[in-house]
Amino acid sequence: MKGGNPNPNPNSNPKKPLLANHFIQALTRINLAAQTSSTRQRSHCIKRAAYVSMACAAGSRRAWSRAMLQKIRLRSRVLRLPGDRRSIVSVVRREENRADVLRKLLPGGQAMEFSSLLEETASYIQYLSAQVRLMQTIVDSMFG
Amino acid sequence: MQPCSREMQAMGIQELQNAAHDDFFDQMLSSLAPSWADLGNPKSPWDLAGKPQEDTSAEYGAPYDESSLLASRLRQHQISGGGGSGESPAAKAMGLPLAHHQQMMLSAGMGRSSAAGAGDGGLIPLPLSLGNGGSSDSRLLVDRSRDEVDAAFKPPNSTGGEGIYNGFTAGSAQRVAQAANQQHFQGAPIPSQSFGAAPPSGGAATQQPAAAPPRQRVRARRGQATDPHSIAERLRRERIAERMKALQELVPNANKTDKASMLDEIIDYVKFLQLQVKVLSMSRLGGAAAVAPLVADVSSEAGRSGGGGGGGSDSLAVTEHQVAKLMEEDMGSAMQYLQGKGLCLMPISLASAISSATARPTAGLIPPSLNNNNNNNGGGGGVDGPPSPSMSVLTVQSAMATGSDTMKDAASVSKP
Repeated sequence: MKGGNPNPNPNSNPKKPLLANHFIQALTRINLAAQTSSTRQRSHCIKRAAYVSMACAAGSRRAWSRAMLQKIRLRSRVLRLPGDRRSIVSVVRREENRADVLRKLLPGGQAMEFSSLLEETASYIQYLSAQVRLMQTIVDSMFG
Repeated sequence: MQPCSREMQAMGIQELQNAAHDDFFDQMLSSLAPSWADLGNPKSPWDLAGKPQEDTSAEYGAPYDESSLLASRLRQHQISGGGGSGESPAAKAMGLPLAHHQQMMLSAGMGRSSAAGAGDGGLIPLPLSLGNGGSSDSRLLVDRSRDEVDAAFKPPNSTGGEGIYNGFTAGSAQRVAQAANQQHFQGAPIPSQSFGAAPPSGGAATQQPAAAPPRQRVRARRGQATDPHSIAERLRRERIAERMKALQELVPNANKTDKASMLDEIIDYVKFLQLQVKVLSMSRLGGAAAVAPLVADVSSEAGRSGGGGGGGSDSLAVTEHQVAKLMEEDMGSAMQYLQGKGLCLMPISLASAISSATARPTAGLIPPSLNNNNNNNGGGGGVDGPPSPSMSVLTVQSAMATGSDTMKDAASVSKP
């Protein structure tokens, strides 16, 4: 099941059922544990589950999925203070060109050269849009 | 280049000259004459080599001169440094006029080959590029001048040792194969690899005319960079271009021709998608994967919060009470509470518009605390007093996310 996607994507491929399965399982798990956590925490968990299911569906073929899984697993243990990030950003922001901006957006994008950056961005956009469509469909089916 | 190398192979330059008689080759050979003049210090082996050329006129003068000058300077350096003895037999044996590059490479090769005692048979050095791309030639020559004779072939090929020639040709063959260019090298690896073995002059000669016409066309193009760097650059640019095209299909509004604006569009789209994920994850709180658990959760949550809020039969009323209480202390927490339920605040006018559009029987809203002076139409009593009895709470999902599906997503969560 593709998550009931009403818009057949020309780029669709058999990875979508994997995406839906993983995400729905994660959602169920989160909601079972819902009583104990706050609202913001749960939204954060859902967002993280979305990205994890994206990365799992993409597999280890993609550099961004590997980097994302690493980052998420690391972040679940260590919480970074938002304060120190801000101080660093103000220094770096001077000479950012577009490629650097894209590198920051894409997980694992710092260590790529430009052509592979473009390729990974294409795959990332594909999976992101699939995930968004999936979540939207779930919402629609529940609240529609 | 290839014709020259093959000539060396065959040791019969005259016949090969006639065989491979293209204009460029003539020009190359003829360019030796002015270069010789530039030198001013004729060395014996080179003289021998240069003699047959003196009769030809210099047709190819100007664009070739600077590379020739560099070549001559380098040659002097290499001749003095390298195998001065080694080169002479080869040059003499060849007895053919080589271009400067070729001669340099020959001398370099001689230096090494004499060390290895390979003699002149298997040592035909391939000139990297002749004439065409004079700048690249001079660059290569300059590189060589800086390094040792051994390192001279590093730019084209990083192999060292005696097998440099075969290795060089192999490397250049790979590179050429990758570049898929009709360059000088193209014909070169084929004959050069045969150098190590018994050079089949016949095969080389026969290959030559067949390969000559395409090579001639490529060679004749001035300003065409032939060194590996520019080839790699061109490859890289092509790869980037085709990936940008693939991205154009994915990203909406991708009709920009400019690469910079295309990148901007891509960046914006990625940011937009990431924002959508974030918003959707917030809106889904209190929900589960399946509808049934979701409804149960909503009601259970409402019941829970309602219990604390001082009960009303209507859990929605309870919700409203709760929100009102939260709003008194902190707007943010109130919003979070609402978001947890998948609800939002909206002006009464908008809510009525939505309700009439969706044709719901009763559409009630949680009024914004900002508009306290609103009419009590849809239950303005969120802050003031008890809400109207029959009220359903509109959940407006993804008003932020998609914007287009607002009407569709607006659902009334009526109490069971």
